[in-house]
Amino acid sequence: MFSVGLGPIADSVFSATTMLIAVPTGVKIFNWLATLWGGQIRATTALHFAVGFIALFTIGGLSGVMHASPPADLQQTDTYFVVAHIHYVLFGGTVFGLFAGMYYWWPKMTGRLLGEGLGKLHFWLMFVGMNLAFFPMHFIGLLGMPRRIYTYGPELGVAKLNLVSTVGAFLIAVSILVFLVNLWRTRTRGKVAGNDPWGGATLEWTIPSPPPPHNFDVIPTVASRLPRWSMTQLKAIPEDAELEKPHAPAGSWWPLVAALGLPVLALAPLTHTLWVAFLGAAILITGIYRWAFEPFEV
Amino acid sequence: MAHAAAAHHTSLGLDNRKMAFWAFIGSECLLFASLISTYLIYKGRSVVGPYPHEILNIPFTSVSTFDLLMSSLMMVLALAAVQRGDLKWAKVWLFLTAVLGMFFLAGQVYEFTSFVHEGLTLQRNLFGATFFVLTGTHGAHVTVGVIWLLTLWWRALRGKLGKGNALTVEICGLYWHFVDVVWIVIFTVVYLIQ
Repeated sequence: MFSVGLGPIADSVFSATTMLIAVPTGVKIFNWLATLWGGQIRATTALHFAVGFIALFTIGGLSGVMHASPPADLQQTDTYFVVAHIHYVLFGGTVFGLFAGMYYWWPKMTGRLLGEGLGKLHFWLMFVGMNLAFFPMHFIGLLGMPRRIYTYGPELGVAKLNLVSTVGAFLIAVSILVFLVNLWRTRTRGKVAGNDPWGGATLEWTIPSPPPPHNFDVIPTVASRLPRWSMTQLKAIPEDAELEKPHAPAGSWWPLVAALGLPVLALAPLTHTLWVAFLGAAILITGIYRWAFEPFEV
Repeated sequence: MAHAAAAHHTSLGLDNRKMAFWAFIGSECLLFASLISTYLIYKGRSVVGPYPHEILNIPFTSVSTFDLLMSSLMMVLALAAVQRGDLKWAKVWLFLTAVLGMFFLAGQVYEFTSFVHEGLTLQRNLFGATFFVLTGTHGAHVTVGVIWLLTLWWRALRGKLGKGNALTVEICGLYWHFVDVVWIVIFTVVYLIQ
């Protein structure tokens, strides 16, 4: 942005608006910290990932503020510093948050808890791997290695740091492998979750795991922000209740058909074949048409 | 549609499917607004011909505009017929709406073909690029509308378009009138104000 040469006035405005982003983000980080402060902390895998998320996201935010300064950003533009920043935000932020949610709601989705031992191994491998892979990139970038170019001369002096990055990347891959093993083992050996393995405060924990197709027969009246903890107003469904068959619409295959049309369509430019394009378009259009008019009564 | 897909009651006083469709029309407004603005921004910036005043045929397009307006009238009559449970006239009006839509499309195919023969293509100049993208997107919308109308007509032929399905027809009508209104704007901006 600042390397384009927009002039001092535009640069100042964009610098100010970029710095402003730090304000709501900082507020969010203190929200999460305050939630932890008032809570009863249990060191579950989900919490490991949640806390890891806050720490890594904050680091990404700090390097983000550096980008708001035009003279600093001029040095960082198109270097590995930017790659380091984006991965602390995107990987440390989004992916760690995703895994926190995965470990927290997996029992609700499948009825079985993911293994905590393998889960913590997954977390530590990923946490160490992520920092090994992306932290050196700050220095690699400031030393002058451009992003999107994989090769560099030995005189740049970034070979060792890049080796550390590579080791970190492999550690991340191993951690994902551990996660997949955990998923596989959980299918048969995972602890049965029951309605509420965590003592959660929100409504999803009042119903069986996995949830029945029709979760609440009567929409519950919510009178507090922590409805599960002030259960007096809530009628919970007992775990072994015989649920009356609800009148829910049946599942549909047509969205899947429509989705199948897209990769077929994408194959056409890859293979330079016209009939594949027509085939993909036909599958896509049929899927959308039948989906739109479902249930098809014609 | 079927009772299985019946709407939840909301405190809005508006069926949630209709609400969703109005939201969709809102997003369609943004799409066409961006295409019309693009046309206006590049208006008069073509460095090579054919230019709009040399090629646009206002009398011909006036006829197809009138045709599309009449199809909106047919749509109103079709909805009224479905709402009073008159299947016979519902069939007639739905079919006529679709046929008038197809006439409009035929007109557009003729117009595009003759423009290409006169040298105006998508790659020729800024007028060609913005004109074909704008009117082509509108034509694609009319095509979807015609398929939708024919589906409803086919359903009526099988005797399955009773009073209970009035909302389905009403939503189709919302779409059809929207596409018509967009054409009025395009006709004014592109053809009448050169």
